[in-house]
Amino acid sequence: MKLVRLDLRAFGPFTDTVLDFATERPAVHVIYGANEAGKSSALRAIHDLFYGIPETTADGHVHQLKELRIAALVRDARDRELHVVRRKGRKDTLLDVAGVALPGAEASWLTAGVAEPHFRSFFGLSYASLEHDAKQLLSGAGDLGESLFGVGIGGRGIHDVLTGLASEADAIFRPRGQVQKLNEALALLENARRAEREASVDAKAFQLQVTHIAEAEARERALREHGSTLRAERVRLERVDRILPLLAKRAERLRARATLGDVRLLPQDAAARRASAEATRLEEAARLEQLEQAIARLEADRSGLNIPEQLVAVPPAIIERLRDGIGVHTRARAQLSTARERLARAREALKASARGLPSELLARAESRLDDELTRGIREHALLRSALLRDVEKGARETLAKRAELAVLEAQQAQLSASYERRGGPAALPLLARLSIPARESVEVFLERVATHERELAANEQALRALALEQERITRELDVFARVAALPSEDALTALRAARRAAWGQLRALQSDAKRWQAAFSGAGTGPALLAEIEALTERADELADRLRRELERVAAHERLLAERASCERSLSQLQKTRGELELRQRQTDEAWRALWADSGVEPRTPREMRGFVDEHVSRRGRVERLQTELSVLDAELGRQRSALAAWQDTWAQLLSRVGLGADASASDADVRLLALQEHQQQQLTAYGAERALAELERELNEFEAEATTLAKTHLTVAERTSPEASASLLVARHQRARDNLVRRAAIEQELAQRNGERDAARARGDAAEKQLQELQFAAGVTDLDALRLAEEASAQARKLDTELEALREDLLRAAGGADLAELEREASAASADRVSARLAEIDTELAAQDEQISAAANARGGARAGLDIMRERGAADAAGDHAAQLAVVRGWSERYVHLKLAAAVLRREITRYRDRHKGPIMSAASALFARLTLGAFHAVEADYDGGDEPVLVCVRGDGVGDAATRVKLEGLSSGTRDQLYLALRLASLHELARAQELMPLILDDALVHFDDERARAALSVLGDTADVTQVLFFTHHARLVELAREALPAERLVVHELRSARARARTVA
Amino acid sequence: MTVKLVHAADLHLDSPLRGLARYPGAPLDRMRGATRRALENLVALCIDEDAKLLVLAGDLYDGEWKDYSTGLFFASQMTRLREADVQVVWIRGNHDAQSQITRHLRLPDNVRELACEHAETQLYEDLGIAVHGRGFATRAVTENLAQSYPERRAGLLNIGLLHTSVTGRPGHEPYAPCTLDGLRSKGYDYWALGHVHAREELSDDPWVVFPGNLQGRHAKETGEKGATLVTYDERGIRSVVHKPLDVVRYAQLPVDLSGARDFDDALEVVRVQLTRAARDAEGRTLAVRLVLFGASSPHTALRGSPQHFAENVRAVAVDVGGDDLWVEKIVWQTEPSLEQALLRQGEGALAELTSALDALREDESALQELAAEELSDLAKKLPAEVREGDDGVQLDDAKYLATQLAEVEALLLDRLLSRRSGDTGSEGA
Repeated sequence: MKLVRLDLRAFGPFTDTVLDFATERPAVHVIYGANEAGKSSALRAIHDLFYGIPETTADGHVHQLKELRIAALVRDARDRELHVVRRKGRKDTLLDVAGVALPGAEASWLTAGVAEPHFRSFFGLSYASLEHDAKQLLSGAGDLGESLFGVGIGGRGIHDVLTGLASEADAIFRPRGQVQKLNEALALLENARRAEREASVDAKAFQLQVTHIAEAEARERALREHGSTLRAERVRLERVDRILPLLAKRAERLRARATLGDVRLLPQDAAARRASAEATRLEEAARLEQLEQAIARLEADRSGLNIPEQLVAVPPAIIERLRDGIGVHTRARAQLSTARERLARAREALKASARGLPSELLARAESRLDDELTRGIREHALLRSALLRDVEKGARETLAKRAELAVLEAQQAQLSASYERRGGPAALPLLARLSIPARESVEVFLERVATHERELAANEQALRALALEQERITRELDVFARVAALPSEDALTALRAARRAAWGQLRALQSDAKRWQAAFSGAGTGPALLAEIEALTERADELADRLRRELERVAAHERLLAERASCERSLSQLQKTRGELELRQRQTDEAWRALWADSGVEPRTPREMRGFVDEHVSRRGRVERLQTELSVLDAELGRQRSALAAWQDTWAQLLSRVGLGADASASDADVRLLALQEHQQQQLTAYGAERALAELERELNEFEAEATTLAKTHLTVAERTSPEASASLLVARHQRARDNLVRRAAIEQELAQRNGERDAARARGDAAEKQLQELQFAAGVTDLDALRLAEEASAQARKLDTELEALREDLLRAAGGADLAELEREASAASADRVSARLAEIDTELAAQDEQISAAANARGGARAGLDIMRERGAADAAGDHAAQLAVVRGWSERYVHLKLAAAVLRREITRYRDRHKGPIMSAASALFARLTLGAFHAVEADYDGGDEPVLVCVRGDGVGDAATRVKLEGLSSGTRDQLYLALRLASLHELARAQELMPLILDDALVHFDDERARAALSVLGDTADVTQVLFFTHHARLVELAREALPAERLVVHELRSARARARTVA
Repeated sequence: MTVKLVHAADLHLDSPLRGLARYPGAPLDRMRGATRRALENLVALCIDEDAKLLVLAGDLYDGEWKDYSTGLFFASQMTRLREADVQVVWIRGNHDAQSQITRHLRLPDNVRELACEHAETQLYEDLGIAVHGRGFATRAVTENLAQSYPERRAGLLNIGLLHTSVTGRPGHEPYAPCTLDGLRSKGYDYWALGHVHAREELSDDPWVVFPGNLQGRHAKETGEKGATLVTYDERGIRSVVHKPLDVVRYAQLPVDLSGARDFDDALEVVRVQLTRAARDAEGRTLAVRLVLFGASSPHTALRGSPQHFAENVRAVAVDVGGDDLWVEKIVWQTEPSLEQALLRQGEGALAELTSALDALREDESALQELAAEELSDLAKKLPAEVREGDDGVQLDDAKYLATQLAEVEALLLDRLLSRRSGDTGSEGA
């Protein structure tokens, strides 16, 4: 597969960049580009043309991804050509020239059946891959099979692949290994299987466990029953032990009670009650006497009190007011003259402050200053200067803007003149809205014109290609015409028709005996007819035979005719397309002019007019902006002037309210404001003095009237000397009367209390007497001494009865439900010593028993816990673990199988490939190696030195046959090793070329590490390789271009230079 | 009066879930005791639906399973049913016939086992039901048991309880064979069958039903598993409804990788499918077998390092599914893309290698010979349980070996062609 032409329409930095690889003879194409010239992009373009543009590409930085296009004309070994275009996308990315997706078969044809990874590795060679792959030869110690196979797939490190597979397999499994993954997994599997087995509890084991539990429970039960018996006996003995002393004490108390005999029982508190009654009787008699004396004293005090009832009836509030008024009245009388003087002074000051103020202002009520008026006048005085400043500034800015507009208009006039001089639109009335097309419209025409040009160029190119194709077909048809005429189906049909006609004539004769005889007698036509039929039959047979024999030629001729017809159809289609394109171009031109018709401007090309439109639009924009700014400024100035006028109106109104004319200054206004404030202050002072005097006079009058009225009622005429004296006397007398009233009430209250106490003391004395008589009656005595003896006997009998009852209850409690008689029987049979000894025995027995019960309970608990463990699903979990581990083992086993089989298959195939191809490859490689090393080596051989497997050795050019030195790969310099690898790669290429169509060989600066001499030799070798497949040699070293020119004849070398990112590639030699 | 009964079979209590190799983040606890929890669900179904009778058509435990705690657990669940006044009737299946547990276990008095020596009838007159049945006396019963079943009892709902493969079902031993017509001829209202693990309604007049097993246990037992709820009244059976009761569900998830352009792309496609599967799992844990198919560009790279891809897929499963997803296995059915397929058509070292693999695939004896040379050490070490079964590593089976060659080819091409810097034509200088 060869690239005839590569058209980088839109890819990486390239736009419509063409690399023309068409040459008469096979040649090496050197594509030279300095750094940044796009060499790498061009390399990627070739890959992407064949195999598609990757999803993430580095070549979409100039053109949008969807617009990336790589076009090419490609030709196969049988000279079949195809125009293809590759676009970026996921599907149908290979197109024909008309943009129609090509079928999959064409894509396969395009890559000559070479898969992408194979193309990348086998048909591509960079300096890095050359050096790397050459080193890989060493890793296999020059093993011939590995080397040839590695070179055959493009230099992978086959030895490394084999080693990798083996070591990975080793890490998974070794027959005697332990730490390998599968070995470990197998050990775990065995453990899991064992764990499952051990966790499983069968029915018998379970039943056995149940039996163990039952036995342990029975044992425990028996022990507990015996323990219960012992504890019951222990309880009984402890009871006997407890009641023996109680019984003895009871017998002694019963005896004491019997000696007291028959006793009349008095209440328990009889003695206390008798003593208390005696004491009360004495105490109350003394208290009665004291109370009688106190009551007599209180009654004497009450009768000695004097209280004037009329004065006491005067409400206390009036007396209180009178008492307060005495002090106030004295003070007010002293202040009266001072208040009168203060009023006279204030009236004088008011008069003084009114001087200088207009009388009509003083008369007007609204002339009173308020805060709002004062603030209004002061703020307006400040506002005036700011307003004046704004108006001046606005006027200045408006003037400046008008000047700028004038300058722009002057420039416009100059520009119009300039356009006129250059033959452009005569006049450009800038401020009138000249109707010129929008920039976007011009852009649309620009795009449309460019499209026309591109389509016309493509059409032209296709026409040229078709013309060439037509020439070829005509040439080949001429060849057919020059050699013998070809048999044709038409000629055969004609011959057979003639034969059928003649045969028809013969059959017609046969049906008529007379005519038959006439025809076959004498000079009849019969024999001639027969001879004609025979001749026609022979010719038809011969023609049919030729048709069969020359089927291929006929088919080739037919194909050529079909191709010619197809070519003519395509030609006619292309010409028709051309007509349509030209028509569209004319229509575009007319539309262009129509677009400008309204503007009065005669348009040039869209590209030229785009500048004009831009400049016009820019200038018009500036004028419009200036006008807008000017109108804004004018409006602002008007607004400021109105504000100044409004201020003046308000100022005049404010001043008139303080009696000043509109022309008064701010300082005049300030002086007037101060004078008015002073006057108002004096007014306030005079008003205050008047109010104080009036208040004093009112207070004096009110007091005197009240004192006089009260004196008339409650005082004698002689006592009424003055209002103040009368008031003082009334107050004192009223206070005394009130005090006496209070005292009388207190005496009466105490009298009532003492009377109550006297009655109570009398009642308590009577009650105590009655109680003493009742006690004597109960004891059956008649005096107090006899009563005291009866009390003592009763107390002794009662104490013994209580003790006996307590003993009885203690005994019953100790008996735990048994009756007293039974207790006495039980105790009578026991002795305290025997009881203690038996109790000690029982305690020892019980302690031993507790230990036995604890042991039995432990045994039962253990057995039950064991049963609980059996009940849990330990075995099921273990089985789950077992199943999981089985899956792990299977996973690792399969991976091991894959790795082992892969390594084995690869090893076998390496050997097979070596045996099949070593002859031709080694022979070709020897010749190439000799040339590449300039004769320093003359061959590459297989050597069995030191092992069963053949290894590569290089034969030096220092001798012939066995005399020559043989060098193993590790003995080669790195440069020579690179050349050996290149020789093997090219030899493999030659070998592959015998079997299939090849893709172009693409070298990317592969020779930069060769010295000049060997680089020249390598380029010469590549010149010969060009006969096998196309050679594209990319470099950005000018020196390699020079070396190529030295190494190759002119007709075997084409140098393409990538000048810059956007320049078209230029073919220079 | 409407009455409900539940029909279940093939409980296989404590039978482990197979094929679930553990990995970090896998929902281990959700897998434990799955068959027990499924049985708990069955008991809860009976109680919640107020069913009066549970019929169990055999195979309560795996035949070789000996752990008695399994039986005790079964007994405890039957006790729950007794407390809820639910009667249970069951027959032995082929597994129960050899089960030690069955022989020793005592069950509460609401549970009635039908005889193995002859067919018998258990009457539940208060429920209006007659259950006819006969269990397996031995593991392999090849006679037609159904023939010996008694005549229908007039005026009752007649149920035939039978452990059978009917006329044979793939993957199941052909025990107690019978025909559908033979079953129909008995005139029963409902045949409660067991033995076949996939749910199947063989007939609806009369009803002949395999309820399937309660809980799937390996990748071939996929989909919903559970029991059948039967409702009937004086007029006969009114409804037969399948009730899913499984707690872990095996599922096959086909994933089309034909659109994937690289490793990450492929992983993203898998992520989308796993997310959808987890969402549809209705709170159950899914044991998913991913079946990857389609012709894709990253085919070689993915199949060349399947473990790497599998680790990533499992991490994704943990991420999107949490406790609801377990990636059981990844099955590769992807094909190389068109361009990669070209490798086999061309000439040269690679084409010869792929041709050699193709030839080996066809040559059973060569393949077995190669395996004998390369894998004999492994074969000696692998226990029988690893080698046997559908998922077994069958090193002496040519068909098994041939299927592994696809993996071998992908592995080789990945190693031989993996991209390397310095490749002309795409990386450039």
